[in-house]
This record gives sequence, C-alpha cells and structure tokens, in this order.
Amino acid sequence: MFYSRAVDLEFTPAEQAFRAECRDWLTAHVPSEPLPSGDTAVGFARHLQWERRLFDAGWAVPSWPREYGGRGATLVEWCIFEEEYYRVGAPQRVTQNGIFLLAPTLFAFGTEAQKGRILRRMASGEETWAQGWSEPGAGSDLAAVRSRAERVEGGWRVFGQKTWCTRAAFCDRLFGLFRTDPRSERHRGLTYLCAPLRAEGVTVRGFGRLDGDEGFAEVFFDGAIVPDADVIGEVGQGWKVAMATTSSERGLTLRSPGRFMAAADRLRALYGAHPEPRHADDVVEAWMAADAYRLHTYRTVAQMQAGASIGAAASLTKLFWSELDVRLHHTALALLGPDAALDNEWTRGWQFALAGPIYAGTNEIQRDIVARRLLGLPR
Amino acid sequence: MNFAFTDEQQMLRETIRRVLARTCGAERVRAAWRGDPVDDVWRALADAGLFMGLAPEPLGLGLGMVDLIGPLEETGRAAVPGPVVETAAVGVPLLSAAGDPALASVMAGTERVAIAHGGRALGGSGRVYAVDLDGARRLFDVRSRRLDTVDRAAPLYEVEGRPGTLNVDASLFDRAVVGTSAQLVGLARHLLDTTVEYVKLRSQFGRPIGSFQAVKHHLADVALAVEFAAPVVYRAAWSVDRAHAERGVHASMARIYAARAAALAASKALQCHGAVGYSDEYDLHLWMKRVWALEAMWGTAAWHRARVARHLGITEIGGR
Repeated sequence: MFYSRAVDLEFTPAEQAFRAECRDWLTAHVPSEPLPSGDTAVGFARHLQWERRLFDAGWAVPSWPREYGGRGATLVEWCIFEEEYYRVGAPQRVTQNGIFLLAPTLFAFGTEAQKGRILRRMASGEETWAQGWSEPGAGSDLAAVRSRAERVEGGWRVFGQKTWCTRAAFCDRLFGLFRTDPRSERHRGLTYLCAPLRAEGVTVRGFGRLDGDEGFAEVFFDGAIVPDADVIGEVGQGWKVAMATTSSERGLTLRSPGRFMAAADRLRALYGAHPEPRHADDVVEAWMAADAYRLHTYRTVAQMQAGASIGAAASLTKLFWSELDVRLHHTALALLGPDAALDNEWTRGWQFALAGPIYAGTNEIQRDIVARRLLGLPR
Repeated sequence: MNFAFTDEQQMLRETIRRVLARTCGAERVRAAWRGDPVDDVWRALADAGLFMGLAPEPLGLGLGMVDLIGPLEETGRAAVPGPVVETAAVGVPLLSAAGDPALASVMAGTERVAIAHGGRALGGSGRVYAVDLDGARRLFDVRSRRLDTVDRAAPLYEVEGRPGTLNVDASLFDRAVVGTSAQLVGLARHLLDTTVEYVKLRSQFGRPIGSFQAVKHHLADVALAVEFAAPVVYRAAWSVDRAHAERGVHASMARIYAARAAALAASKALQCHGAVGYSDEYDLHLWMKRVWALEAMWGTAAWHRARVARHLGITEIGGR
C-alpha cells in the first residue's frame, strides 16, 4: 500500500522565492518613519501615496489577476505577502474596504464592464471606497436597512442615512445595501449599489473613533443619483450579493495571520524589555494563538483550493482573531505598567483591537451563526 | 505549503470511524468499565490496519503519524478502551526498532503495549516499556499494581522493573503526546455532537433548550476550540514525521490546544445536559472521564506550557 504524504507545511522553492521577492521590495521601500494615521485627512493622503507605490510595483493586490493590477499569486503566496508586510511594519491599508470587501463581491457578481471600470482604479488608490452597511437602526441586524432607492430614468435616486462608514470622510465612493422595493421587508427587496460620496445629494460628516481619529463618518443621502451601471448583481438580490462580502470580511482576507504574528513577536520583545513573570503565561498564550491562527488559515486555504467555500465557518475565524487581538493587547498593557496610560503604539493598538468583537457582525451574532448554521441548533 | 490530507488518508480515517461505529458503542466502553478487555474492538482496529501503520514495510504499512492522526482522532471519538495510542503510535515503532518478536501479535491486535511514563502506565501487563524525553527502555521482571482510576476504562498501573538498554529515540515521548492530543480532539468532537443532539431534543419552557442563546454560545465556544485545536495537532504529527527541529514545541502546543478544547467540551456538555449528564446511568460521563484521564497523562499542562515558553526565550514559567 502506498500513501502519499500530502500534508507538507514546508514552503515550496517557488513560495520561498516569492517571500524573498516581497521581503526585498518591502525592506527597500517601506517608509522609514511611520506615516501619520490613515484615519485623518492628512494621513489618508500620505497613505494613498504609499498605495500608489505598492500598486506600481505590483504589490497592492498580489492575488488578483494581472489585468486588474495583481500578479496572480496563490492564496498561500498572498498569506506570505501579508506575513512579510506586517513583519516589516508597513503602513496600514487605507484601501482595504475596497480591495478586501467590495472586490471579492465584484469578482463574484460584477459584470466585465464593472470590473474593468472599478478594480484597477481601486487597487491604485485613484478611487477610494467606503462601506455602507450599518444605519442608525441597522447594526447587527443588517436586514433592518431602511435607506432606499427610487427608480428614475436610467438609474436610482438614493435616500437615507448610513453610519460607521470607515474613512468615508476621505473616500470617493460607497458600496452598500439600499431598499429598492418600498413594500419589501427584511432580506427581500434590497439591492447592492455603488453610490457617490462627492456629489449633489450627499452629505458626509466625519466623527471620531475611540482613539479620537476621524476614522468614522455618517453619510446622508438625499436624492443622489446611482446609474444602472453601478448596480452590483441583480436588483432585489442585494442580500445574497452582500453576504459574499461579509464572508470575506469575517474570513481570512481582512485579517490575515501576518498581522497577529507580527504583533505576537512585538509582544515577545516587549516582555524581554519588561519581564514580569506574572504575565509570562499570557505572552505565551498570545504567541500560541497567533501560531494557531496561522495554521488554521493554511488549513482553510488548502480546503478552499480543493473547492470548498468558507461559508459560515468564517464566523469561527472572526471570533478567533478578534478575541486573540484583544487578549494580546491587554497583555501588552499589563507589561507596560504605568506607560499603559500614555498614547503610544500599544495603546492605539488596544483601542483598535476593541473594535474587533463589534464590527463585521458582533461576536454575539457570530456565535449565533455558528450555533445555527454550523451546529444546526434551532432559532 | 499544502495543509490537505490525501484521499487515502481520509479513507483510512473513514474506515476506522466506520469500524468503531459498528464495534465500539457506549456499551463496549461500559464493558471495559466492568473489566472486560474488549478484545473484539482491538481485533477490529487491527483488521482495519491501525496497529500495522507505523511498522516499516514489508511487515507493516510504513505510514507516518500524519497518516495515523485522523484514525487516532476517531479512536478518541469512540473512547476506545485501552492503550491505543501507546500501542499504535509508540509501541509499534519502538518494537520495530528494537526488533522485538512481539511485534507480530501487537500488529494483529492480540497483544497490547504498556508504556510507562513517570512510573505509571495505561494497562500494566505483558511487555512494558518506559518512555521519557531521552527514549525508551524495556522493563524486565515487572511488578505492577493497579490504581483506582476515575475512568475505569483507562486503568492505570504503577509499574517498576529492571530497565534494559536505552533505545535512543527522542520522538517516542512526543508521539505519545501527539497521539493523545488527537484522541482529545476526537473526544471533544463526540461531546460536542452528542450535546448538540441533546439540546435539539430536550425541551423546557415549551422550546428546545438549543434555541436559547446562552446554550448556543456555550456550544459555539466548543466548536471554536475544536476547530482551532485540530490544525495544531495535525501540524505536530507532520513535525514528528519530519523530525522537525521544533517537534517538541509543536507537540506541546498540540497537547495544550487539544486538552483545552476537550476540557471545555466536557464542561459545557455536562452543563448543557443538566442533571441528566450528572448521572452515571447516562453515557456522557464515559467520555467526560476519558478527557480527564488523558489530560492527566504525558506531561502536565504546566510542563507543556513551559516547553513552549522556553522556545520563546521565556524562562520564568516552570512545570512538572
């Protein structure tokens, strides 16, 4: 009997060469001084310059097809890129809502014309995107969306309020769900639209996140025009189209293991500088969790390459990384002692981590999804 | 990088699962509690190839821990009584390397291998080897005394004997750790599955208790722990086969994650079953007590944590 040992956790020579290539480029090009926060107007502009350099070198969206500015990298290579990106401490990705949330939806539901018109400009940062899911009355309960679109010649006029739109104060456009059938309820009668942010009939008001940066915005639509060409998928099928995006948001594309591995290594270094034995265990826990997340991701990648879709299992991923991130930063604050009161990289990271269990569907909702859809428990 | 099992590997696992579904129901675990050696279950596992796996060809199948890790998980799911990991994952490679003539009967499932660690072994008669981090020694003129255990289907013996020459294979200890971790994951899966079925059927206040959010979240947490433990265990199996430089760290991580998932599954299973689960007439306790038994073997949680910590350059954590 012959059994092939397919499980191989060594990187292939091609994957190692890929790692060396991105490491070399990143080491040579990452700004030596940290950029100002991308959640401020000034910092956002600086980050877009960085995005342009990434794009010109073919690193903005390595896993995309070449025709849209990618390099056709495999999912494993994409994870490698992410590991290297965060290892060198490269800037935050201010294009992430477009490239990680809208783009997967376009690849699945967009027309050739939409992909051609939107993707390259998104990847290069020429056109920037905000997400428009939440509304004052629709948070975890996304199907309670009330923003509406009225049919007009050649398109739609949109009305209503979106909120918690990340960086919308600095972005050009917004994607989200709008009710196109006024008599519809809940998941039915919704349509996925790409709406303008800098146009007549739109008011954008930025406001502060927990850390004080103006990373949030609320968007008021009062009759702005969305042409038919900017409807993604079919009219009335918005819920189905949007779910493809929420799965990417919760799953591996938004939070690759690289960022947590880098954070866990920084935590180890912090422990070296502040060796407090009472917290040694927590440092070990954080490092193991980042490693477990990496292994789980590579296992998921292998399953996806074999044709499986992530589906509801993305909720498990989201629970794991968001709670790992909070614990890791909490440990850092404990090690910092009195310096945990200062505004620094760790305290900013802590405040950012606290958003993880809330956005992309609160962790309570994720546990409900796991229980209902993976375990089959009743409503 | 390819973290996928082959069709053959999945087939072997499915075979073991089917065999155990047929031969090793809860009544066989109860039989072991009464002192029955459940030879039929062991023979069925042998027929399916479990004990030939790690013996080199042409005698055995020449497989690795990666091939065996799914099947071992299934033996945990069924709570197979007796030293399955000790025999299949430690004893067989050990007897093969030592040229021990007992190998044939061990592969046939008629003889079991007792592996002592810290002076205690699961099953204490016949051939006894002592394994620690340095390797293994056969024990001669063995005197053993059965201890009273919480899980009576996992009988522990205090063993003493005259040690033979050292068989230097430092992987044996980690094979036991990794195999036990796989069983813990299997136990956790069984506890989760049976509890899910229970809370769907059990009705209170006019609704299935599985519709209550508190119950849902308990079980979602178990699913989360199991889902993230399994890849850590599979990686450790790969490391053993590769004689990876960090094999020990990977084995300890496997053990930490698997034991945590299984312990969580056991406690949430008990809570979700309510008073029903607290009775020894109900089967739940058989699986729960196996979790506790395995958690107490092959190094404490603290020891494994210290091994990972040392790898990270953190020396302030101790542990037996």
